[in-house]
Amino acid sequence: MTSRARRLALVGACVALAAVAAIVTAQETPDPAPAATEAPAATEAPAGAEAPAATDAAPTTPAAPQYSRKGADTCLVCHDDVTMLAIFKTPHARHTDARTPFAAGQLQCEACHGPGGSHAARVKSGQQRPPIPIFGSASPAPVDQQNSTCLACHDADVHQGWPGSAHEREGVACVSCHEIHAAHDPVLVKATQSETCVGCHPRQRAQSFLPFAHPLRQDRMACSDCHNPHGTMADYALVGRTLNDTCFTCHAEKRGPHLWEHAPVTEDCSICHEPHGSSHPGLLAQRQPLLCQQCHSEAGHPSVPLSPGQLPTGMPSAQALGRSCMNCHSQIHGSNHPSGAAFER
Amino acid sequence: MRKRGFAATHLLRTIGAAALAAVAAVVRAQDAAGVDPSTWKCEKCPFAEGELTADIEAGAQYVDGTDAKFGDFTGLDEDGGYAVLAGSAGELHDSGAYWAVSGDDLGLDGRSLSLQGGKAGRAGLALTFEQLPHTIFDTTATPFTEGNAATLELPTDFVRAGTTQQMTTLDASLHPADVGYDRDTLAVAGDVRLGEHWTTALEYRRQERDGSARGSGSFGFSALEFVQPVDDVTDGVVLSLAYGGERLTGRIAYEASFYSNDNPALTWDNPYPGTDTGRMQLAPDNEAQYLDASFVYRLAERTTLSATAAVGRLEQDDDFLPYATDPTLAPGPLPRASLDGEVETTNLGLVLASDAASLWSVLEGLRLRADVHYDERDNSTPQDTYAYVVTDTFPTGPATNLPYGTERLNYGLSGTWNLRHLLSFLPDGQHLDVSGAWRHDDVERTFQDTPETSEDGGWGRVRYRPLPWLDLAVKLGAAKREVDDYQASSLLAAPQNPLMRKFYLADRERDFADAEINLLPSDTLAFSLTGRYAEDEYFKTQLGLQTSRTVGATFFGGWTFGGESAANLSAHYGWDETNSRQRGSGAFAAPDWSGVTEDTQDSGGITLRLPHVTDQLALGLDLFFANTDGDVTTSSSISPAGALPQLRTRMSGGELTGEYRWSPSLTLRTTLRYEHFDADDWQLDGVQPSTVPTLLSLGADAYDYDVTLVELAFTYRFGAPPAETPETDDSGESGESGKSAE
Repeated sequence: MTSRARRLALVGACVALAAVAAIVTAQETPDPAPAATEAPAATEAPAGAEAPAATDAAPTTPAAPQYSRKGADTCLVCHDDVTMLAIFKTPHARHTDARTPFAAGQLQCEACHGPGGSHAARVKSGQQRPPIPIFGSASPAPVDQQNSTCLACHDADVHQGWPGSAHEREGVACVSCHEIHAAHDPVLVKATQSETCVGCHPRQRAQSFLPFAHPLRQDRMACSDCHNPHGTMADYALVGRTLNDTCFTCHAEKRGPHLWEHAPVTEDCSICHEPHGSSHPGLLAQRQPLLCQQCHSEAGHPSVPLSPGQLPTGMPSAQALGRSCMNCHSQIHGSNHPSGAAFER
Repeated sequence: MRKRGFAATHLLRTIGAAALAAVAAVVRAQDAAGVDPSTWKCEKCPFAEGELTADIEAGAQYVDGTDAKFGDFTGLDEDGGYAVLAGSAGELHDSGAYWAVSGDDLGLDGRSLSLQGGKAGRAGLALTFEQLPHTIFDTTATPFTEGNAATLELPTDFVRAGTTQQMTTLDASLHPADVGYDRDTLAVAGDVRLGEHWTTALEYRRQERDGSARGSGSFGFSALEFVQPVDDVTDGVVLSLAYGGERLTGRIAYEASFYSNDNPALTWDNPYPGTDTGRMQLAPDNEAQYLDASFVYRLAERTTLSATAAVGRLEQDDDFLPYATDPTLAPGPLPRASLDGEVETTNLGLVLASDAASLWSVLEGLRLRADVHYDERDNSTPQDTYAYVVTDTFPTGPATNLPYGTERLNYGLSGTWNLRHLLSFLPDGQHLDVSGAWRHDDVERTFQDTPETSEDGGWGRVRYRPLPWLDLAVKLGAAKREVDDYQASSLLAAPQNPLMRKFYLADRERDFADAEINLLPSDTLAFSLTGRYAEDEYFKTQLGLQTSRTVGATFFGGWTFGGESAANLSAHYGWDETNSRQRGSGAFAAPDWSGVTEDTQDSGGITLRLPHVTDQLALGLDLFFANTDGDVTTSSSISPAGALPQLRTRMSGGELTGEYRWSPSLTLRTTLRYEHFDADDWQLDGVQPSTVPTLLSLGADAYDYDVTLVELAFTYRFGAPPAETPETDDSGESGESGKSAE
């Protein structure tokens, strides 16, 4: 595909997406009716089910959600353990910040957990207490509905890449990673973040134990230094515009442009490197000279096969030992020296 | 998850779903009928406002048997004692103003500090400082000493010779020279809310590297390693303005990064005959600037359109060094004094994500994403021809620089379909969803072996939950990359074998499969088992990488026990094996040798946490191991070949931690840690400075340590004790069955 054809294809794809978006917008139903007209369990319990209030009353019109009389002061009568109270040490409970559920005039616990009036009300002996919406793997609510509660306030924070992101597609709930009631959310602390991530990404945990790796095991880096788990437009949810942009955040000395460029370096660092960890120095995907010989076949020494005879027990060779190819071609990421065409200067 | 009856499960799901659906709208509306939260006083709420909290941790640790590898990134690279010092303090005022300061590992070279302040919901400022020590080798030795202006000098009596064995004064001139550098990062970030919808932010980040790295140079085919000085700075700034509205969120930002190297060049004495010195140009100063814009628009309740656009410019214009240290070797004048290098980048993206039920109700549960991306690296660096000098030794050339550029267009479609609504015959509690994706990727390149590569790929996955406690998933995928016109580039100074195919440009077929089993037999038990397989076949490649295959598996198990004490036992294991095959030609003709590399790793660990052995005592135990094996074997019809010694690393260790809570304010922590590491590396083993005739090496040894660490520290917490159970209200009710909390 020529460059012009590629640009035309890009424009065409954008137009097609916009057309689909218009069709979808026209067909999608309006926003759901306000909560005041929606009834929880009372009218939706199937016949014969053990619904606390369903058999006591069957109103002909939907009932308004029942909020507690005192808000958090009601909830804390029962839910007063240290774990639950830890939320008051978090930004969610800043009563001076008008955006938070515990600011003046806000719905406090019920902002996220929904109307709790029937949950807190007196129940007859032997009857089940009406549940309150909960979050996490034990919640009966679909993940997207759980997340909609969080996104109601955190839309702008995470929305940039979330719709259609890998985690959204995989049905990851916000609370799969975030501990809302913890005084210090572990996923927001560099030293503890990776423990959350490796729960679903076990291979990366194993790679962090390899002898050459970024300092995640030592708690000096976090997964979010390179990835945005809420999603981005870049591959692998990387925080940079491209993979190389992400790497250059800390490795700007390799950014160039150089006089003599090494082509794979300019395109994609992961052509040669394994960023999560490697058993080879420099996080290289494979040991030199074999890595280099996967692309280089010039006549002479570049094409000589590695052999045990090149070790100190035989005829020790600079091609095999030390830094191998990089003993001479040390400026492998690019050279700005007029005589650096072979990356030796 | 407790097992419930189907009817109860259905009821709870209905209740929960309906309730949560209502919650989101209620949160937005904030005016739910029949409630006036302004009367809710939250008297029982233990708000943090108005209290000053602070804690300090102080103690000591002693390390024995360490080396550069254990000290890498930790700062514990030398035997002896270290101070343990950390702490935090903060205050949140009733006005919303706050400040917080914290520090970790203040007694180590890997210390970090953070200072924050502002007013909640209005503005904030954060200042952070982090040190990251990178200790590379402490077993290295060199005859060079560092002179002025990044020069490496040999002793005046050094005997230069054609091979390292003939350098008679080499051994006597060696002295220890550790390799490693510190990376210090200082960041200042501030944000201000401008009204209800707008936020502006400014971040400045400065990263300094100081120390040394493992470097090398050459004269002809004779090479040498040296301790290369590192002294550079990267300054970055990001200024952004963001909007967050009901349906539209957006952000524009200016980003700039400036790299500056205090050592633009490195000069070293030549230990071999010939020219007296060699000189290389180190990483040149460079800068990058970008302008980013992005937005997300919610077209409807379940449909969003996201877009991003970024343009950037990379520049580099350091003065060139001369062709050679010996001006008599220079074939002529330089075509220009500096590069005037310039690269313009463009990054565009458009994503439409929607629930397909918007289009057709029978597609309920199907979530789709369509996206298109365009990335361009337009390299407008000038081209010139350089009649250069090879390693300050002899003139050759000419060669023309190649300013590589790329243009990439990729687009795709992906989706996940929860089939619950469609498969009504599924018993309650069962879930079935299918996912899939297709992607097309075109990359156009300049000055390379092929002008364009094109790849199509896709995958499909089925996830089935036959029981509430059992989750199964299988994923299969494939991709094929095709290249229309591959011709070994004739633009390089030394021609490639025309049969060579560089693997990242070559035709390729890729197949992969994943499987996953998750078991949650109870609320306290969890198991996970995964397996993966991936194979790349470069089906048109005669020289170069031909196949690469990876298989792997992981296991995780976790058990929470002890009731309210929440003790936890977990174990993890991972295994991975990568096998790759390649071919080469020593005769610059048809393939006459092949190489096989097999890298295997397995690692695992056990963690035990007992937070309440007694009311005051907590214990923790971590055990781990990580092993790698690398086997390289070559075979050839015309050249020496064979199996190289195995590359091998073995790491294992454990940590026992005890915490004794003397009082709500005072805690004593003690840690005993052991870690073992040893390695066999044929590229380092037995390679001393004079081992290789044409390589004056640093003589680095493969890593090998047995470290014991003992730590004793006290943590004292100032201010209010942790939140305690609030007194019950006058009703004294506890909300148990038959009672009310109202």
